[in-house]
Amino acid sequence: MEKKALKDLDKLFYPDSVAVIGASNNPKKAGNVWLNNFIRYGFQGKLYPINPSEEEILGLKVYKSVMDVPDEIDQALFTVPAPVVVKAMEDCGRKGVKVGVVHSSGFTEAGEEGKLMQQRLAEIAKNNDMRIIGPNCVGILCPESRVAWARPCTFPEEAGGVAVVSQSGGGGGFFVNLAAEQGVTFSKVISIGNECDVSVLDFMEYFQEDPKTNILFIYLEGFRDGRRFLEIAKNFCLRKPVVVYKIGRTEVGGRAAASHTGSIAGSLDVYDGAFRQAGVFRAEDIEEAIDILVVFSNVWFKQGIPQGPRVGIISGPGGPGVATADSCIEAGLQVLNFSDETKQKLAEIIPSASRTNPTDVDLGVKTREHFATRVEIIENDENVDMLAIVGPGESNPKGSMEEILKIQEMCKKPFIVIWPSAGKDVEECKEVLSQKRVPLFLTPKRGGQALGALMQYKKALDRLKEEMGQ
Amino acid sequence: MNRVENGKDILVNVRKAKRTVLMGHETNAFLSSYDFPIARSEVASSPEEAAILARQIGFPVALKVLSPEIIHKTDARCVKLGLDHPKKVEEAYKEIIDNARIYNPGANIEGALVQEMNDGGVELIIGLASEQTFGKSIMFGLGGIWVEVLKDVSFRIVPLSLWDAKDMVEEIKGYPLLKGIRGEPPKDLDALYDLLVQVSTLGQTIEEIREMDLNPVFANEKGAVIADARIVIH
Repeated sequence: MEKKALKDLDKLFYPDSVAVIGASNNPKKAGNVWLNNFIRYGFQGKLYPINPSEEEILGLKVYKSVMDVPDEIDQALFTVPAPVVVKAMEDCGRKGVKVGVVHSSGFTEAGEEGKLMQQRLAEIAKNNDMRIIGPNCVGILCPESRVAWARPCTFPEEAGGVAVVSQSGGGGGFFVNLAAEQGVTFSKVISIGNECDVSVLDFMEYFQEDPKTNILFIYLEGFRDGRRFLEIAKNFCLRKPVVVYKIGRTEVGGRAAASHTGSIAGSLDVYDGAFRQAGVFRAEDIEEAIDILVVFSNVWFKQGIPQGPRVGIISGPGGPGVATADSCIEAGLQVLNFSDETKQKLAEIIPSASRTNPTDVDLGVKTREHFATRVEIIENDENVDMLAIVGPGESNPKGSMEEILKIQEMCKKPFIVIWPSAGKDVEECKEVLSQKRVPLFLTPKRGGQALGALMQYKKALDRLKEEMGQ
Repeated sequence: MNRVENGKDILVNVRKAKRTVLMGHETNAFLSSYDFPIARSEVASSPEEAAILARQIGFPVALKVLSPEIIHKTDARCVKLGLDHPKKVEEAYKEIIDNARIYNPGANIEGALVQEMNDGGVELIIGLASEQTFGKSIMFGLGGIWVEVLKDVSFRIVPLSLWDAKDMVEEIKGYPLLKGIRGEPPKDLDALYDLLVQVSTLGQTIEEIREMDLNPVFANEKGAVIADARIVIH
């Protein structure tokens, strides 16, 4: 998309005025939910409900059409039936509305007639220098500006660095809720619908320049132009990491292939190849996607970038520490012996405790006070680039939580916490840690993979820089 | 005649004959015109001629039937390998023609390709496929009869950079075989990277190619050799 067109997307995320076409007093209708969402979320700009048969909705004056609104309208939301959308979009074009977000369905996904209407929308956008998101989309969430989307959800309070572009309305919302529980905070969240005007690739170009976004997550069904994706993605990854979760993995419908290559190359294989080529992460499942977002948000962009692949592991119970070491090595990292100096210093504190890497320390009351000190000693080891702190015991979750917060203050090298145990007390402590942006992972495997992802990105960056001559 | 123009002419002729799959000697001529490292081969139209050509090329040789209608030559029992004596070549030629007639009685049989055998080397497959979203994609991996079972392959999108070629070679599980195991010397990885980029360039510049298999490609200590190939045009 041209630079100017991308700039127009600012009015999508930071509108001063929003019209809701199809606003309603019926709480069961999208025209009510969407308007109410803006109000509840705390949108500070002007709101204009548009409905030819109402006077007042949710305490706001209603207008018969956008043409009747005496002020400028930056953004228009649409929840009326498809044919009405087209007519209203023409009005918006004349009015000078910059961005339209169409929740209504009944377009290309519905059949031939719908396809024609969708083409009409694209034309109107082009002729009026407007940008249209959708149709058949859930809308936008922007914590910074309190722009809300059309479905009910828990609104993220805090703004953060993760941008989400979802080709699935339902999947996107579900993802945001799940990720927020693990302390992920968002810059912008978009459910993109049928992409009649603005596409996933356009948003990639936008987010590459957006100073508020440092990571992109795409919930993907598929691209229309894979080669354009590759070009854009390579440039993007040079600046910021991208994580993709792809659905629709299996090949539907046989394809007559006359060669080995043709019959072996499944569509997910080819997508995978493209992702590797661009330096993009492809997550196997939602949990992995969230873990990658957590490790980038709370380690790479917050604590700092590990200088190398060597992990120092300190655990409460011994087993999970070893499991973490296994996972780190499987993820391509190194778990080396501590230096003699480190071993000596560890011995000075607790002569009987282990001095190998991973080292374990029972986080019972007696040894707890030494925990932060031990972490400090290991952190200073020259064979350690980052730390994994594993499985604080269940015996004193609150105490462990306080130790970890202490460690967060003092630790100079990047670290993660792997805390497998559950139970109400532990869950509460973990929530506090997540809110304070301590990078938390549920299992040794997920923690190891997350650290591995940091190194993977480092490698991808080096390769891209070499390849693109930077 | 300009060699590259020659290659395009081959495709034109194939299309004129209303075919989409190139025959063995056409494939070889086409790849040769684009400077691909193919095994040396000649066309024979009789058992005696096959024997003479085999002597010229140097034993051992392989013999493969040339027929527009017979695409799966091994299934049709129309491929003979490791022929190390003129008499064996003559007998193999006769056998191949007989098998061809049994496999497909109506097929046009134009003769057989006499090709030099490759000694040792790691057997690989390199392919080009067309796909809706990404245009052309490249496949690389361990070849042989296991490719369909083990599927130890990697994929990338055209155009391929040298870095992409390197990554996709290192990605396969069989990579240690190429680096050399148990005292075996390493294979010529640079030749493989170059070959991959060459396939990518071909895929980029010749729109008419829909699919291509280079199978097997033998990775040797020095260079790589394409022992068989299949090209499918739109």
